[in-house]
Amino acid sequence: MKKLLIILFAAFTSWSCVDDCTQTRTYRATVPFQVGIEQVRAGISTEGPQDLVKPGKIYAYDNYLIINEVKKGLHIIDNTNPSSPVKLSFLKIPGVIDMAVRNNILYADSYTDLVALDITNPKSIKEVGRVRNMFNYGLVDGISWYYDPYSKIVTDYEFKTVTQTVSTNCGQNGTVWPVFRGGVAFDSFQGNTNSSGNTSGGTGTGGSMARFTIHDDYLYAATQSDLLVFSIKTGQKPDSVNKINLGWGIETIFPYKDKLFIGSNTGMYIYDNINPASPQRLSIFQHARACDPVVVENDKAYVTLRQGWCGAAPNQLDVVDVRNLGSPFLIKSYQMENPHGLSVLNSKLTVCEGKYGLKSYDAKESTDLKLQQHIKNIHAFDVIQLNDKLLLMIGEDGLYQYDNSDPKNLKLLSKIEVKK
Amino acid sequence: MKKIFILAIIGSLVLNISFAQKEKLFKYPFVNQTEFGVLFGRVKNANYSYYYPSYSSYWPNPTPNGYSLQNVANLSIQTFNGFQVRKKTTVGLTTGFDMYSSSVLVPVALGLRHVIYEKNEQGAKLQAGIDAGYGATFGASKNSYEDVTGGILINPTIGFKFPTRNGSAWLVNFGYKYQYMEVSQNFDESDFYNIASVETKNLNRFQVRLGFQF
Repeated sequence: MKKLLIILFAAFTSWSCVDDCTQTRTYRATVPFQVGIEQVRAGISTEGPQDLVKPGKIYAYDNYLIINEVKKGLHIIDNTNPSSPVKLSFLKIPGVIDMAVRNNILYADSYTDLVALDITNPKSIKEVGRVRNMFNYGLVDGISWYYDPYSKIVTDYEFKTVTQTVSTNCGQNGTVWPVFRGGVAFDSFQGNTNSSGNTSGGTGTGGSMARFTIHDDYLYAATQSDLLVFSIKTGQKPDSVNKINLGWGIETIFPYKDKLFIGSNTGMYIYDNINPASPQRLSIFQHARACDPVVVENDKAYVTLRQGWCGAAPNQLDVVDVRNLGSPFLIKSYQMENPHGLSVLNSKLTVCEGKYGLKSYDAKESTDLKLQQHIKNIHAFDVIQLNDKLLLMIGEDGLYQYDNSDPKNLKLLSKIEVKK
Repeated sequence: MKKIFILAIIGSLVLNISFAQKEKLFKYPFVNQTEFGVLFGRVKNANYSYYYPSYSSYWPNPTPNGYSLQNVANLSIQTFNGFQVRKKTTVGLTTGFDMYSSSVLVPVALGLRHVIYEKNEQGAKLQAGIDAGYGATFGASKNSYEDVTGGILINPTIGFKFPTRNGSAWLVNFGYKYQYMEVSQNFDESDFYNIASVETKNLNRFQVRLGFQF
């Protein structure tokens, strides 16, 4: 009895009727950091093989495989035997996003500059040429960077996970803390295209995320808004010859015959490339705002649209007839789950479905694509069919190589793991 | 004591009012106390200064700059069902609805009622009570934006019992109610920036209850 009274007394005296509420939030923020341009330019070096951490685009050249480590450098891999690829070296290039190779000269972007590197000996790569201040801003993985020519400083951003706790008013007047919804456009692996397009001899095959492509003696580099044309007649000395304004939201570039197919997030542009130094616009195939890589084969363009930061279109695959380049028209749309990169070769169509895996289609009949195989439980961003037998696929977990001779039964040859 | 306790719990679960008429079935008389209450509390509206640099999506913690208090009141309905194990002591189970602003919680608590003081058996009595248990969310309306999980509740009270002639009684109780609650926000899968957000709520309320016992 006494005890109870004491407890009650203690409770009554120590109580306060003010609510005590706290909110703990974990979110990803972009935090800026700055690098002087001289430091960027001095930053190229060849190092020993390293683990894949955050792979970006892929590029195949001869027996080599080049995997981009976003903004850090390039992994050079000897892929003579696809069943057991060997990491040769890691080429450190600050700010590298795209690359293309012709005649043992690797062209890559390094923030503002286009650099040419001699990769004859992959273990000791030499810088042989540089075109300065070609790019002033860029966007990859939802992070943009820009260059201020007056202060000569590149401002880039990196993601940081932040956890914060604040006290709240217990949800009495709605949320105190505004919920952050974006701010920087994001889409992992922006821009997907360029599988085994029509490339001339001595040139490699771009991963389907490429914004760089080589046609004849010209290197095409798409920025967010422009198409830059470089003459690479003398490999070591790339020369800027043209700059074509494309509009906004350019994602990918795909060469097909003497045409360039450019994927933007509002449509597909077709450029006539008969005069490679100055491509002319032929037509636009417009679609809802979405992320959309494009590939072309046999006068049929395959465009995947997916939901993401580039837009909110339905997830689908559009097959577009481009026989008459002046007026492309839609043949059929197919429902997809979350399509990313795709590749078509000899009517074998392969579509990456992000976390839903990899799908292989028979594309002989464009009005009736037949699903051949669906590999689930892997993450697939982007795919290249190098030839009839070899398929390269990259995802968040690593680089997979498949034997593609039977589209109904893709055989895994090897996997280069991403270090978690 | 333990046996009585278990019996009381099972008994009050099984028993309803029609059962209660057959008093001989159980050793102890059945008691029901049903009360309507209001939970009075105050919340702090902090005056935060936010500093969000325009060049970054990194938001530093806001700077607290004092706060204002806001009064809030919530409705509560509860029923206590138990057995009078001693002349002055009743044990049982308490359940009902607590209508907090974030969610309606269903308390499931063990309850104890004890008469501390009485002048005579017919007169008004001073009664102390305590309920301790869990505030559950079942039956609460759900939405896809947030998940509410309940938590521990402690509810000591003190009040008056005014017996009527037929053996029933009117109740007036004053108490304190502590309730823990967690509200976690659900973010869309495509939401790259927001990873998690959990709000923990320690609700401290002053309670006034009016009710009836038979």
